[in-house]
Amino acid sequence: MPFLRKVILILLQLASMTSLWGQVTFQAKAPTSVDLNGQFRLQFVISNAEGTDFQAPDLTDFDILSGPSISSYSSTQIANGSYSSTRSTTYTFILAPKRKGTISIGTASIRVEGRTLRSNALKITITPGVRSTPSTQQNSDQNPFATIQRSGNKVTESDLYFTVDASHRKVYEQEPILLTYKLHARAGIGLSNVMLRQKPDLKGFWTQEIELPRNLAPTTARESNRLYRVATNLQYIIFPQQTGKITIPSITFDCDILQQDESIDEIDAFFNGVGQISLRAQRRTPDLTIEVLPLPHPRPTNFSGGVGSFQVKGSLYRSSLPKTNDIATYRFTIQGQGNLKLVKAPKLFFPKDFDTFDPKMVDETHVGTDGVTGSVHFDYNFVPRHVGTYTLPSVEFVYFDTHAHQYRTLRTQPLTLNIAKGERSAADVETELALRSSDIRPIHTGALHIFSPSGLLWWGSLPHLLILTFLLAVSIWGAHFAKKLRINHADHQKHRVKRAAAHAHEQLRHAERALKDAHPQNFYNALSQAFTGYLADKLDLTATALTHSDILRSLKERGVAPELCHEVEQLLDEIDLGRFSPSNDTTIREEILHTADRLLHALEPLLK
Amino acid sequence: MMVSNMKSVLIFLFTILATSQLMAAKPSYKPEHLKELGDSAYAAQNYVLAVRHYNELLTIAPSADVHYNLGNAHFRLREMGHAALEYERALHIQPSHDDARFNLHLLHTKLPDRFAPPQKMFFVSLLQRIISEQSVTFWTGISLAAFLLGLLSTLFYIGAFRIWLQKVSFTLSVLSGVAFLLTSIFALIQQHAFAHNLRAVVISPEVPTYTSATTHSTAGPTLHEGTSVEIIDHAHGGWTEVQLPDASHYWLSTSSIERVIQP
Repeated sequence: MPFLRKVILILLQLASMTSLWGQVTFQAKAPTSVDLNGQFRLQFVISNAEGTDFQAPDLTDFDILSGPSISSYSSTQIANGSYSSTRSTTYTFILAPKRKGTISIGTASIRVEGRTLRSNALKITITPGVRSTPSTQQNSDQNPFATIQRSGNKVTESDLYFTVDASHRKVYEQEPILLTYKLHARAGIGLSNVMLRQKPDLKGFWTQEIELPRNLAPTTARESNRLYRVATNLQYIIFPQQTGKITIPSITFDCDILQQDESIDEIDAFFNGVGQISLRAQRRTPDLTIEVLPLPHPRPTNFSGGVGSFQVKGSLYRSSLPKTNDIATYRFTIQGQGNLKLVKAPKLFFPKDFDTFDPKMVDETHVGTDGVTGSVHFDYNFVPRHVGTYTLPSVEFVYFDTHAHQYRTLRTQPLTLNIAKGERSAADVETELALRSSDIRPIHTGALHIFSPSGLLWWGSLPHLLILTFLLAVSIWGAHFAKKLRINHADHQKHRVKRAAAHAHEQLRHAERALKDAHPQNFYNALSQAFTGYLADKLDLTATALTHSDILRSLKERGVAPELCHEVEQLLDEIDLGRFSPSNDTTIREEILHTADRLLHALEPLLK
Repeated sequence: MMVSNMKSVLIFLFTILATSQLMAAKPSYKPEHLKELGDSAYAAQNYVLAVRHYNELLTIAPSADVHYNLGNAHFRLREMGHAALEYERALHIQPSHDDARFNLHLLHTKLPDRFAPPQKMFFVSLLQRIISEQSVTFWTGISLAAFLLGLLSTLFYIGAFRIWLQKVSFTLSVLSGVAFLLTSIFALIQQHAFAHNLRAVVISPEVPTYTSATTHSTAGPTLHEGTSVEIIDHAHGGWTEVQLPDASHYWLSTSSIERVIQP
């Protein structure tokens, strides 16, 4: 029975181990002092025993945000041959106090091996809430917002609502207002998504949205004795452009709320997903009315439209002093807080023989909760055309000061410019101005050409050297071939020259036979073949498409006497004449035949 | 026994194959795909995303067009230093990239500093421009064509029966020989310029310059982000001597500039 023996052994071991466990204790733990807006952990720890039937004390003075959650821990150590073992089970509540003062927490009870153990009682001092932010610890079982409402519970207007808040309700025209939309969700409302259905239609305002972090960082707040998380989910800086009472219309948010699905038990939820269902709720913000006062009358004539508090300065943007035909820039900077982007460019009075251009605005402002701050620059380009000393008069800037509630005028220092002779021409200025006003060329879309510093077209690379060697080798082979071709041709030519006379006389005999022929063409054709064929062979010319002038030129080049050339020409003409309009007179033919024979003999020694 | 052994070996091999396939299938985009992503991000004016895609692409596959597009994205983000650097890199790979040259020129006109170009002899500067504004591949291609033409005309010369043909082919072969030599030299010049690119771009918004490698020396002009310079010398203490676009030499802090190629 080896199996039974094993079981008994294990049981014995277990028994000996339980005897080694230390004293059984049941303890309650909690901080002694808690902030009213805070949350804290109440723990009951049973050590060295396994308890059942845990009974929590009365916690009506607290909101139970989560719990009781149960966690167990055990460890065994063997050192110097002796066992030591600890084991504990913890019941944890996360609580938020409902009232100030000292609250007592009664005892909890638990049954261990038939006995009932009681924990110690605790006293907690609740300090009045000063902080509204929760503790930075965001442990999942400690976060009150981690536990979510069970399905079937209604989400009322008091559980989830939005508010809109304006920093001022009564402002001057152009004076900024900070508009803040906030979300209020009661603890236990599991919000998964908040969407703005439509941006607020802020007619009569110039609007700048403040960029908020993508993750809403909610704060905890207590409202009518319940715990809420409050998050800012939209902020605008708005500048009223009209006067009178202006209504900021309400906007609608779509909210997705997660609820625990009770029909799925925890094991099922583990395997089949979270076991949560989503609800869609809509919330509207209330309307808001703002009173906008007109700026005091009369307005100064050169009022820039600026409302806020500003400082100005003006200087040459490029540090070096311009010369003639240089494009220089005078930068007028308005720095401060207010409707910076709506300020009109001030008028600058440049000297008359400067070329001037419309100012360009460079925006270096930042939109934040304190309004639009930073600076805007107005860049005035100008081109001095002549050498001399010029003065840029001071620039005036008139704005409405929202602190002092009156108009103010700021002035820059006048600027003296000593213009020296520059090296550039007026044409250079034109091209540069054209370039400056143009934009960069567009990107290259389409196929990707990957660059590699190698390959056939990289000088000295292996493929490149190979192709060079290959071409060279092919042409060395080709050179042999070409040489052979020329030698062959030369041989053939030599043969042709040698055989020319014999061939020609043979042809002449053909002509002689055709002398008495009924068709005179036959005679002339044979004679032409004999004579021009001889010349073509001797002169290394192609027999076809051979013209008289070609022949005569070649003869002259070979040093044949002009008289002889003339005779050859005459003969060729006579042969041609005979071919196309033959006469029946055989004596003329005979005479031509003799001339041909005589000329052949005369040319033979000259054309060796 | 043998059969089951074979089987286990086969299974083992298949497992290795499958795992190696899985390893290879880790999420990495093809270069072409990355370029499309970058281009569409640029088209959607999401320049930050375009910069990210192009940068990722350039770690896999260098390309003049991608450097150029990246330069444009930086330009749109008003990061003039990096824009100039990327245009310089596009021109480093492909000196004939006209759009990169134009945009770099345009960028330089938008910088606060003005540099009068150094006076040079017209012919010298023209020749320099002709050589330096074409890529190695262009010059090598021309030299290869000249080589081929030279060989062909030499063959013609050797094989020609007619005097005039011999004259023409001889002239042609001499001319293409000269062309081959010249374009090969140009290709080698450009290859040398590629391997020893000393250009750098000012990356710090503003950087002071000095006449020698110490802050106690006379101060030179203050340079601004996006200015292209040429590195002349280095000294201890993080100093670099650079040549400004007007050919003057000054010392500045090495960390304020970034080189077109990493040496």
